[in-house]
Amino acid sequence: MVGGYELTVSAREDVPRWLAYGTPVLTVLGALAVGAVALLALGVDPVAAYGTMFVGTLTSEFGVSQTLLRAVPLALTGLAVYLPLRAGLWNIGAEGQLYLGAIAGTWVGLNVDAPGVVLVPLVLFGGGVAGGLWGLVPGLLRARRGVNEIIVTLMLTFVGVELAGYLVRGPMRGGEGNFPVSAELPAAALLPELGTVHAGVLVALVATVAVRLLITRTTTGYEVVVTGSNADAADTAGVDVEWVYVFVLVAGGALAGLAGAIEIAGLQEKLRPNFSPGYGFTAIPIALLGRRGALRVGLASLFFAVLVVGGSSMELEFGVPAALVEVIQALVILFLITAEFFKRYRIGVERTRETAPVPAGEGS
Amino acid sequence: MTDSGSDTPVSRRTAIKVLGGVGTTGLAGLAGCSGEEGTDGGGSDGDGGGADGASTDNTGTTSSGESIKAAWLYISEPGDLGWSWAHDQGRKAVDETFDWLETATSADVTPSDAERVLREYTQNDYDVVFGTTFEYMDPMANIAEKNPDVIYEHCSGYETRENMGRYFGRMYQARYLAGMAAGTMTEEDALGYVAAFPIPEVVRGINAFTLGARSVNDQVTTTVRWTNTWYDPTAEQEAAQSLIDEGVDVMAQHQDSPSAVRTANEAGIWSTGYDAPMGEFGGDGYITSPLWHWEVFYEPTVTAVRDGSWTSDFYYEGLESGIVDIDEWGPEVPQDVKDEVSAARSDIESGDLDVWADSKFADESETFRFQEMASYVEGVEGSVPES
Repeated sequence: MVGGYELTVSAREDVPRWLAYGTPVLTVLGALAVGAVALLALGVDPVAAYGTMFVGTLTSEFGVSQTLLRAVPLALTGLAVYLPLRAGLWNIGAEGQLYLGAIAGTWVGLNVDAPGVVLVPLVLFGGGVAGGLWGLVPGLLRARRGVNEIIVTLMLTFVGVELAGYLVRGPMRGGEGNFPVSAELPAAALLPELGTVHAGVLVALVATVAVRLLITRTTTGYEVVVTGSNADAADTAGVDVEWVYVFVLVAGGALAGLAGAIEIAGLQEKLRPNFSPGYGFTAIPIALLGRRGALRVGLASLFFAVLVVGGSSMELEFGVPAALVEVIQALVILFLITAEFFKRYRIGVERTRETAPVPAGEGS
Repeated sequence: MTDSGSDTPVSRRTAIKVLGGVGTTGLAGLAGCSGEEGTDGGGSDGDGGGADGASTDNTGTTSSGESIKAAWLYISEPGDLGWSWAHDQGRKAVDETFDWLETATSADVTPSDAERVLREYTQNDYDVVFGTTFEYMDPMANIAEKNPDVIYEHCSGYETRENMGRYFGRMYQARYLAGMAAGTMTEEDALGYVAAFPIPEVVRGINAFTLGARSVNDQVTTTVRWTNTWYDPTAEQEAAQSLIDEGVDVMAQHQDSPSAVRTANEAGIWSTGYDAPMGEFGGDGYITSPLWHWEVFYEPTVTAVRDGSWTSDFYYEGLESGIVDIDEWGPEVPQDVKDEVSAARSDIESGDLDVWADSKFADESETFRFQEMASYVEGVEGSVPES
């Protein structure tokens, strides 16, 4: 059909400033416009609904504090994906590392008798260590044996989730009425409140800044980035690539484990099976959007948190079906990730001499 | 620096590949991320939200004038023909009956998310919020203490506050009737029971069902399979199948899906459902289902909230009130079974028949039977799993 023309894709040498800043705004608006069609079909005023979703969420104390709380696990698991990504590795298993952190954090909180100033850091530390160990396995396998870390991290996720399910039905069951739930953490194990949010917000903020400093200011960070650019070249240049691989997956796992411990000690107060709504998976698009810096990961997690909290408010106030809200959220994410592509590559049409058929979809 | 030039196509392609590879998982994660939010389960039929409610406000010109807002929290989607479905039928009934009532629902609210959803309804000036699963009890009590101006009603628990009541129904009476029919119709004297959690509510149902069966057939035994989930059609089906493999010829269930009834039908055995009329899944082997009619409680409650006469108490009624019932009989149920059950029903309603009278629980208090029952009556195989 294209006949004598061919689509070409070439990397932009320079991303124009207007494109860099305009793209996210325009694409979010584009996604919302598509979603508006469905809202109109349901008889809901899209302007009012989106107003509730975004403006309402960001201007009410309830909306802001819920957004911050929701962003904490998203930011930490986002960093857990981001850090290995900088070294060229895919940590698809932040969800499993989060569960391990939650298990360890709950266990410490229930079994260690100490005042809050000691116990809370111990709970978080336990969560971080457990998550780090869950990252150590794929790290070592990748570094020493070249085993694909995507497979290992993903598979260990199922092990982690099922382990939590087993524990709350067996050794760690402590709720009343035989429900599969652990006992409630003692008050000393719970994160202190900071107004309407818990101290986990602070932890996530510190972690984000720390990862940024690690990448931009330290030798280790430099080695991570060099390994991510070209592992062979890094090796030739004397970087211990094996060590870098182990480091990023352990550090990433620890961040995700921290998220799990915070979710329990800050919000849920007891361990339940399937307690996470998929934070560790949502972390993957977050890390993709924020791949150019840890602070962007933090911003992306805030944005995702607004989508979820605002989406919930929109459902509640306008009776929009849950499925449609999820569609709108997914549209926004798809549009954003697609836009990244167009921002970075130039799509051209070139005339070719021969009229060889061009396979449909090539180059897109 | 990784953004400059040549390395990006590779990582970009990897990115797309990876996203493709875990696409379903990732999207499931995202979906889950919001799926557990407060969702308008009734949205599909369009009467769940404020948009409609606003239009009904105009008619509120009666003497006391006020329109009120009521919200329901469900543990699952009400489309499942189970527990949440039954509550939503009650919600719809009051929504249609009272033009001064605006209702909203949130489905799939996990226990860990309940506090946030409760808080949001509270902040949105709802007058009364109904929490319809046991595990909402603690978060609801927390919110109720902080918001004395809003009324809360919790189903199936034992906590109350000055502004938080609780409600339930004597479902064991309907279970007893279903058990009578099952005990008469079994040929193997072997009943199967697919059950969710070994909590008092469920144990009570198993006991009442077995007492009903033993009242007409002292040879009968009940075998229980625990699924540890309220709603998981696959797990329910597997549990039902394992009971069938052991030779039961009547299936009973305490789950939120008709899965066990369907499995029984496929195996060609008798079945009783729960929560909803499940005849279409049980086929010719369908006997009946113990049912809820929650509007019997919701109607007076929203009325009392509106006229200011609401007080915190424990609503706990039985067959005579209509809040519990049994479904119409299946096509193959013999007339003598119907007559016998009907006679027992009259006796229960009149107070002449007490389900627990001849059981080991006869001398226990109502409170014990409500929240501490943790062992089986004679005729149930095995023992209740330890907590």
